[in-house]
Amino acid sequence: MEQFEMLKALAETNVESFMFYILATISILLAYGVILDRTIIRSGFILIGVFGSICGLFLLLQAQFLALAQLMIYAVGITLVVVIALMLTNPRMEKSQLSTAAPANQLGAFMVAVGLFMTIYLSVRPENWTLSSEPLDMNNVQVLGRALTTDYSLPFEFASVLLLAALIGAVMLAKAEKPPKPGEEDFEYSVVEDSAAEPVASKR
Amino acid sequence: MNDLTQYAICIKYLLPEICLVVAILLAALWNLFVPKAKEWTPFFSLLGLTSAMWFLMKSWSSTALPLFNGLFTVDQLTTSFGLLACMVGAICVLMTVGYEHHLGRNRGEFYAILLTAVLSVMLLAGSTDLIMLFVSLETLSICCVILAGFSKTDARSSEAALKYLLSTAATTATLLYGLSFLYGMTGSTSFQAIRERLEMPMSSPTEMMGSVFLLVLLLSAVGFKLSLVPFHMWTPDVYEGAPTPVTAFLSIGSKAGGFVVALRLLVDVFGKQSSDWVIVVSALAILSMVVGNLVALAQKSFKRMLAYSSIAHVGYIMIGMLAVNHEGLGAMMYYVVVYGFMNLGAFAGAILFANETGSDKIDDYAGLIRKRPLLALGMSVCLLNLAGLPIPPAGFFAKLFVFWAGSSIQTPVGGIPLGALLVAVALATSVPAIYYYTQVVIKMIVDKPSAKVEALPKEKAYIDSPQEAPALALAMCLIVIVATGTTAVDPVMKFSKEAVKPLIARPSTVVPPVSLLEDASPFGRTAEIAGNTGLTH
Repeated sequence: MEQFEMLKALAETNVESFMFYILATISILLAYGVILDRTIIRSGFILIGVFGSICGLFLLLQAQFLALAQLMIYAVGITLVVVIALMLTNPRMEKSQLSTAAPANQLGAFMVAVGLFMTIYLSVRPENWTLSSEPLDMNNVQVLGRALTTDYSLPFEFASVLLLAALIGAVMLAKAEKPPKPGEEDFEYSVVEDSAAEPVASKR
Repeated sequence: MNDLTQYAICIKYLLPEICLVVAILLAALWNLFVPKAKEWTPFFSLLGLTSAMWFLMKSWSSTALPLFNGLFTVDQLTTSFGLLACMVGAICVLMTVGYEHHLGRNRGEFYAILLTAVLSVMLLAGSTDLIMLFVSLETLSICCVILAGFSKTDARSSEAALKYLLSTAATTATLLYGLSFLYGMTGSTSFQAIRERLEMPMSSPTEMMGSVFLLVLLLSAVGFKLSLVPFHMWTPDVYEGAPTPVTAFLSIGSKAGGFVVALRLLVDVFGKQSSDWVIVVSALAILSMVVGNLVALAQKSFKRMLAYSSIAHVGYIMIGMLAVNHEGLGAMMYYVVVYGFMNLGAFAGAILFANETGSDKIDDYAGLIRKRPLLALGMSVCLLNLAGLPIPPAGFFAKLFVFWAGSSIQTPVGGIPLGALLVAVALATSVPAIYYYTQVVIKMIVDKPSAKVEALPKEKAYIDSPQEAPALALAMCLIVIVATGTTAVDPVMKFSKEAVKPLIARPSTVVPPVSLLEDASPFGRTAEIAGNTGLTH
């Protein structure tokens, strides 16, 4: 009974921050797992957990749409692609042979990291942040949809041009290509080292 | 009804961009459906670019028009950078026509992605919202990565693409980190609202530190795009490995994007804190001038030398921005235009030379004037102008204007005014620049022909050979350089000053933003911040 009372008191004070700390701890621990696990496929799967807990953070912020997008795009879509790519490129799933940095470098990196953390911590203190006291619209998916099709339609549409370019580029780079046979291309250049009489560039 | 007219206004001002999108689709699909007529692809690209330029010139207006509720602003800066991007794009297309044999079967795709890169520079120029800025900056980076890796048979090209991809990914992360803090601190993604919030007096030292920290994060992203010195590591390898037309585009097209972001973010949004960033940016500019010019001295490859010298040129250009007045920004814009054409001309010459000899070594250029007098003379004009010598004085004037504007910076650094320091460094580092540029010119004109040049056949007509398009590009660049150095100094300067006007004199009569939502701000945040309901500590 006592515990129940305690839990109730906790729930009344701040479930949100309680949940936040839990989710944040999980995601940080899992993120370390992604970096530290030497078997690359396993870190790929741990990544799903990281994205899942970040999805929980979005839910805490009442951003349902973002939470679901996070889950569907990152936790499922992108991780799946990562895992498939790993399966295709590293079929034996061996431990990757990463060399560790020399201790002197490690120390240097640690110092830089601490310095950077202190700078960021000191300059991004919570009291600088503007808090909005406005209640969130319950239909925030609706609000997002309207914004994307009206004011934000330009970046929204332009993102499709970005994806088109990325798609073309990916296909172009990934496609297996034999070197062109002579005569197949419409121009053929001959570097003029071998025969000086040969015309430099001839159009066929 | 109302919404529809708003849409119509937005569409009308986006016509240049729409032209380019049509050209992108045509370029991507033409080879697929009409493979027999694939030599037409560059013509469609040129057609798209010229029609975009025509619409841009038509939309030139002296009042800033915020479209999409301030997401995209059409003002002189947008239009002029759009025009510059289109011209650079057109010249790069011409260069590519003479370079196609390196691209294997992916010619149509090359034009499509080049045009996408041009389009993203145009949109970047008008971005006045963090979201728009980020989307267009990302598109530009991704297109540049793909373009750098287009010569698939060349290992150096793949290396260039991978290096650019990794470094651009790191900078994007930094930028996004900075942007998210910026949003968190100001509560808005709109430049105008952010500026208004930043112009409010800072209440605590940590808040000031916060804004400086933000500036550092944003500067690293801008510095990467501009390849200012601590962020220049990628430049030489990418410039050397990427296909030459791509290098030409990177050297001015993607840099134009960087300049416009620097102008909008530093001069416009962080204008009030200019005392904070002037010192940092000056340090970067001085480093760039010194490192770029000194390392360029030791280069054997022509493209690599131009890479290092482009780092140095960005240092010079930044002096104009540091003055933060109309004169300085106008001089900066003038320098950007002139530098762009000089550099494009040099790269067009490099393509013409490499097509015939397959070499990019500076030593191989020796004695070129005996065999290809026009090419040697054209390249000499570009290189001498890059060095800042008055033959014709376009490059000389550009340097003069920038130094003149820079000398007016009075911020004291250790007792001497910053302007004097900057100009002194710039003048001192111009000496090695003159040496390494003229060294190439002297080699081409005075020295005995190298083995490769010796092996070149007798005079050959450019017409009706794949060389004609890069030759045309070189000729266009030369015409612009000669004109800006002689008869057109005034018009170009006037254009440059007009272009930067929106940054200096904010329009007194603010045109209400063209918005598509009844409630002007979708999240109710912008209005709140703009109305200064203030901070909750």
